[in-house]
Amino acid sequence: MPDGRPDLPLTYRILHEPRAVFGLIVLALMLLAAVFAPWLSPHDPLEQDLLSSFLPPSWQANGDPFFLLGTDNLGRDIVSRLIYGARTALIVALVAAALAALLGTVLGMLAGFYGGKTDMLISRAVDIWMSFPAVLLSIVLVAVIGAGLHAVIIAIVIIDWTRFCRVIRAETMVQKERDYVASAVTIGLPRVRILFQEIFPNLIPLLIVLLTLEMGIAIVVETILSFVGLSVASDTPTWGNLIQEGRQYIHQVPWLLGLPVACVVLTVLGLNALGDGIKEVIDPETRQ
Amino acid sequence: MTKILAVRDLHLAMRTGEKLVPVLRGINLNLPQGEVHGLVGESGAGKTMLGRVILDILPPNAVVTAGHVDCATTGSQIKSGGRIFSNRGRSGISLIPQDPMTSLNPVKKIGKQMVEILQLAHTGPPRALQERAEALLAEVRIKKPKEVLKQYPHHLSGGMRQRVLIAMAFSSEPGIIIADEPTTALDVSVQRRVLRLIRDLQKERNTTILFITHDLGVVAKLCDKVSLMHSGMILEQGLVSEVFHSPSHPYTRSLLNAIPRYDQPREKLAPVAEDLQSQLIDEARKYDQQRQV
Amino acid sequence: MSHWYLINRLLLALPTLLGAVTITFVLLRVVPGDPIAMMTGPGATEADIAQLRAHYGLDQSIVDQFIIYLGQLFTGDFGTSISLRQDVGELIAGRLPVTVELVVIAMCIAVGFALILALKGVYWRDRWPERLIDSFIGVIVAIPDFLWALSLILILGVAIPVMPIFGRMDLTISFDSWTNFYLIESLLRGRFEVTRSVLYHMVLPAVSLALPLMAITARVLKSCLNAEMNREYITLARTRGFGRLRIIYREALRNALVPATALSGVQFTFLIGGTVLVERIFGYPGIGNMAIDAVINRDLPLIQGLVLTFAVLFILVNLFIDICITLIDPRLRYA
Repeated sequence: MPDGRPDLPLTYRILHEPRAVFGLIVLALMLLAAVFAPWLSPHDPLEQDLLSSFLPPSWQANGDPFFLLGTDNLGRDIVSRLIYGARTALIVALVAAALAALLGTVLGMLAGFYGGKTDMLISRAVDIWMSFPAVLLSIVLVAVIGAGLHAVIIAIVIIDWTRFCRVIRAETMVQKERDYVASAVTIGLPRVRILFQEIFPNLIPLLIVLLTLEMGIAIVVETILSFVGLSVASDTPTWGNLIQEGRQYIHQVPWLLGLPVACVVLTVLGLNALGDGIKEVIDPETRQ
Repeated sequence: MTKILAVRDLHLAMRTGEKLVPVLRGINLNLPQGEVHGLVGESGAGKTMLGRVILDILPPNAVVTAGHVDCATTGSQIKSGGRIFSNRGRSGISLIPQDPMTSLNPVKKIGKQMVEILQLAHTGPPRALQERAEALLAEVRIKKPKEVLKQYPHHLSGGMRQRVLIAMAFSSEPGIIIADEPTTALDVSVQRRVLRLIRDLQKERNTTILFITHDLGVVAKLCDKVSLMHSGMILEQGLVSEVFHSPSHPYTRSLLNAIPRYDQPREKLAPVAEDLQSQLIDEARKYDQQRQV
Repeated sequence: MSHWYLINRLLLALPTLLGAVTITFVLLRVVPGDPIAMMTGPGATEADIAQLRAHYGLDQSIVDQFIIYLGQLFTGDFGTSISLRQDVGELIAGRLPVTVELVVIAMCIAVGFALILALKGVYWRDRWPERLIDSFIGVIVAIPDFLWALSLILILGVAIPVMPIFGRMDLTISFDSWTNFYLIESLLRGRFEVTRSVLYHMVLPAVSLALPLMAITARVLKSCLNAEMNREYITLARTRGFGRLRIIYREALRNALVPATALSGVQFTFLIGGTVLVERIFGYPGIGNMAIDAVINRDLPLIQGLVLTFAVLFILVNLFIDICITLIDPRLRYA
């Protein structure tokens, strides 16, 4: 078992943790789809063909081999829309998670390191933030900011920085008590440098875990907002738009809902497994 | 004298991964009715594990590899590969634990906890059991037993809780009690009263007690016989008076020298020498190798 | 338990409530969309719009609007919905029972199954049923209620169509409710066909809401139980010959519930937030569904009333959890 071999390099141990491998495969597939979307998709995702709307997957009766997984209500190719949807999802996941991490980590580190009034102010803000229903808040926010990908990303950052802030604050407080910080203080390094050059590197493993989990959350939030009809214009292919359309025609064309839901579920499961897997490799004691 | 407890050539090991790590190495112990037997050793010597084998509450990864424990009061035999319990069951043996603060269920009233234990051995209306519990508390010299029964553990001091636990241990009229360092967690002044209480209750009932401790002073006051343990082996066994006056094993001698005495200068206080420690561990290792051959 | 503790808790909740009201109020006043324009349509004259603006108090400064709004709140006046042209208080009062029934049932399902999973997992510790339960919990916990709702619709509504997936009850049944608590009211009035239909329609949304909460609670409770099983008083109970089942249920469980309830308390409020989407997906006529419509229509008074309602629900759930913990743990009762 790789668990008991802390001497092996981290990447090796991660590659021998089945959950992490599953997550990496899912992430790699998404990355592939996102980067090579124009070459991978057989059709333009926006190209409408009203004559061939609601085509079933190609292997079913009436299926057209030209449209592998069928078409939607406007005759758009579902495979292409799913592939472009992965692109949108990945952009939102990466950008929103990174920005939320940046904001939350900086505030969390400041609160954990300086304590006192700084800590009280930041922690209070986190408490008030957490007392809002997150879904409702995100919907209100997007309504305020207006539709569009940037609005979704801003909404996710504004809501989810607290996740990073709480955990990073606690971990910073733990690290602060370690010997290496004490010796840095004795040498006389400035406090800001201690925080960002000495403590921060020790927060990175935890940060990676949080980032992975947050990517999954961001994808779900994007899907939710598209589903409610607030995310992006409905001609941008996103999984949430597909789900929203699918919900309307659920009895005629259940695959229209089923396929994007499967994509989101698989992605979320994969990112969660990756986060849990890395967490287990980094710190076997926290396992449930 | 009837023999209450017999431990014969007991070997115990802990399973860690694939390996079996020996914890007890050929323990022999005989306790006749009414004897108070001190089991002395430093932490890690295996004395608590020995108590747990006798009580049959081993952790799941502990294995009896050879030998057996016969307990007359429970009619049980614990040996490698399983255990046999007669219908007398558990009420023939009980435990006075080390830490009174964590040994009572914090969310149940004292009365309820005592009645539940009494129900195991006695049948009768709840009223009668309640009175029996009250009488038991009075016996361990708790002043207002009726009120204590209605209280939760956190209302009581450490000494009070240990009295309650002693009352619980004696409540099933067990033939033998394992006392696992019952005074270690208490204040010095309370310690003495609790020890006297155990001694008095033992005398009245002629109970057999296996008294686990690391404190030779307590052994001198309380016990008839004593066994000294190190690395899962008994190094010396005998009457307290004999062992204390003419110890035969160097380890015993060094332990006796380590007891601080006000009538001797502090320089005489010698810790157990390191070379003696490592010598004992070597012996244990040699013993393991010989058994493997 | 002292009443002072309760009163103190309620007073502490007031600033949070005020914070929630203020933030929504400020957020909504910077909305670019004009609710009056949306309401009147292109045919309205300048004078009409100005009159409506004055009617809803939108012609005054934000600070004045806020003071007026707070004053109205104290007299129990939540304002008038712009899109539905009804009193916000009445609108919410009509929809709230729907959500409350759904939430209560979902929480009961979550807690019930969490207890079963955790207790079975601890009973079968280190054997294959425990590993099965752990992986089951691991999968459930990763997927949010929103995706559960869609998956359940696909599986039990479309693939094997055994469950209703839309609305609160069969539209063919007519039931003139006085309170809108259909479940309780139909039981009390002996209209069991209504109870049946309402329960039947509730299964999928309630299960969707319950699953993530169940998984988290089960995981927390299980680790608390395992920690409890290593304690001294459990060892002592074993020496007395109590069986493993009895030790788990009658000795460890109540002790484990204290930290487990405290740790999973937040998750119960997440369930309330989840109603927004789950009600939307199942066309369930509660306040969550209403909230989405209100946001889409830029219905400022209604959004404010709903956010306030959610905040109050959050606070009540937290209070309920605190009371539960004090009831379970005698050590906290006199503190």
